[in-house]
Amino acid sequence: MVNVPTIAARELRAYFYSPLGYVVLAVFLLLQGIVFWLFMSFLSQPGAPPGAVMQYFFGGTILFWIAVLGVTSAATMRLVAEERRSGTLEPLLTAPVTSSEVVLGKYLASLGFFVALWVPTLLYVAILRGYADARPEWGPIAAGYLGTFLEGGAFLAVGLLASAMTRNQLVAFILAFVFAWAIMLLGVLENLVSSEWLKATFKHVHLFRQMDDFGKGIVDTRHLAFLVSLTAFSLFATVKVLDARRGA
Amino acid sequence: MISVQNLTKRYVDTHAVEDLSLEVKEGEVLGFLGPNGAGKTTTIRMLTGFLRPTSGTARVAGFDVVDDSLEVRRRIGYLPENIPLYPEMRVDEYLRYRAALKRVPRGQRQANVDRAVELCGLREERRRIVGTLSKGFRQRVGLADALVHRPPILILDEPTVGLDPNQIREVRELIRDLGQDHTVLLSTHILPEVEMICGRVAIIHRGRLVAEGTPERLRQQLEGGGRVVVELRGPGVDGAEAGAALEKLEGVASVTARRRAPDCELEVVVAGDGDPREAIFRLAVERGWVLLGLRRDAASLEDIFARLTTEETTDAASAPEPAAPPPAPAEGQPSTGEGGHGAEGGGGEGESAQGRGTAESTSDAGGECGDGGNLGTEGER
Repeated sequence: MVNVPTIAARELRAYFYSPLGYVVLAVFLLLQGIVFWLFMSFLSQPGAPPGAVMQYFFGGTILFWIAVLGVTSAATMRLVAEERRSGTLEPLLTAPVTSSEVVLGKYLASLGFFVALWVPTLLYVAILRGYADARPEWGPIAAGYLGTFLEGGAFLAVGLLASAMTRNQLVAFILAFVFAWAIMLLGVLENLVSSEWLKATFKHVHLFRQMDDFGKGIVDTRHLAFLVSLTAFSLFATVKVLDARRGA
Repeated sequence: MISVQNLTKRYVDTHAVEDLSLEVKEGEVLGFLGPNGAGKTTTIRMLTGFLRPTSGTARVAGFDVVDDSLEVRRRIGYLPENIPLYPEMRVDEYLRYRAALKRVPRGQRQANVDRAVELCGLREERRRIVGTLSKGFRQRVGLADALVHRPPILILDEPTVGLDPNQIREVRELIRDLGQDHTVLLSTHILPEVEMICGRVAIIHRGRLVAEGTPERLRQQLEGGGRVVVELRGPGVDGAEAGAALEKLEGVASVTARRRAPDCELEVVVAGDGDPREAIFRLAVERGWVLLGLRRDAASLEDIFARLTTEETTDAASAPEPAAPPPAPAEGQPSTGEGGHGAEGGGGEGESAQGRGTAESTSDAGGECGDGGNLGTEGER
């Protein structure tokens, strides 16, 4: 595993060498800024439902999910597909590194980029703290960020898997986006099935509900287990895909 | 250092490498020669752990390429075909990254990068972005990458493809220098390259090893005593008489006329290890011919190569092979020296080698008998 930091550092730098990194960053912050402003103005009106701004910010709307899914798919589409297309996968895999090191290194880089995207949103918390009458509660905000980190982490792993399956970045993006939405919509099936235990199952994997919980400050270990398993499974599958390609 | 045994790689519909056995000794520079599509890159990718063999084994520096791939990869400096590089990185940044990836200890990295940069003549280009480099410099960056962890073994896949003549010369000189203290496996489809750089040659065609040895030994092995070119002037030399008389001499396998007039030039294929030059001289004196020229014509490796690959094509023509045209019989007098090999030649991949033109192919009749002309059994016109 000694090569993981080496690969992660190169991949992370590659985000900021390409215009893609800045485009994603700019679009993401613009979108988040609009969302924040919408909630601020909406919740400041008299007669608005009670609730903290940041609670709605995390998981309150579909906008959150569009941002997370779009960003994770875009941040991972390049990782393996581009190396396969340009042939650089060959020098990478013929260096004394294991497939797990490659996958983990690339995954950590995408996670680093994802975290870097969210860091500027801490400003919103600072704004709330400085200007709002009611002091924001730290617990729910921290839980919201934790939830975002875990959801993002899971979708980045799914995106990396998609990227390992093709040599075309656009295909990788679409695959990742479709995979992610399929996982998202599993939870919606809750309302469409009649069987009790199926209902319960889908309820557990209902990501909208999960993020609502995180936003309220509830850190449920079942959610953690689901997200961490999804991440681990996707990374494991990515390693297997890379290894299988060696055989071809 | 590299030992390949019965290595086979099959894809669903093709055999890329078939039962290949090969040995590269320590300190040796082995030329791995074959036309495009012969299976060179596939073999190399199996050695470097990028592809898994279907069957057979290969060991590099004593480690199995499948079971101990990591150990193998630590000891190999590999220059892949087409040199894929990250375009957004700077040259020294890339080399430092590769050094780290190849587990060069932190304290040594800069020194190793400096050395590789010096060896490959990249000092002026260190700060340039890889994506802006010319093909020649990309090639050097690839070589520097192969050298940066100071591996005992170098595997270079077509290192001179796409370079201009000056760059080709420089890269060849560099490889020759590196050959002094490295074990090198050099794949190429360019024959003079092998003759210049390599101590030993392995020729691969359609995934099989078809010949192996020093360039000299290969020549002997394939040519017997080689060829003798005779140039005569005098009465009767322009008929078939001279050729017929020469053919009766001991040690002569076959005779082909290259030119009839004004003077007659004949090509004599020598049987076995004999040297018929003395007998030819005596015959000329006896018949009153003036002997204008008499010289041995050593077969170039190129010639051997063309022969090997066209013969293989003939064998493979029985297998389903869309590229193989109907066999073209060589017209004129039959071959005796080559065990009938030369009688027909199938097209396909022989053609690239054909184009390099040995003496015979240029004198080939109108091209109608295709590859047959290069087999030393060209018919009379």
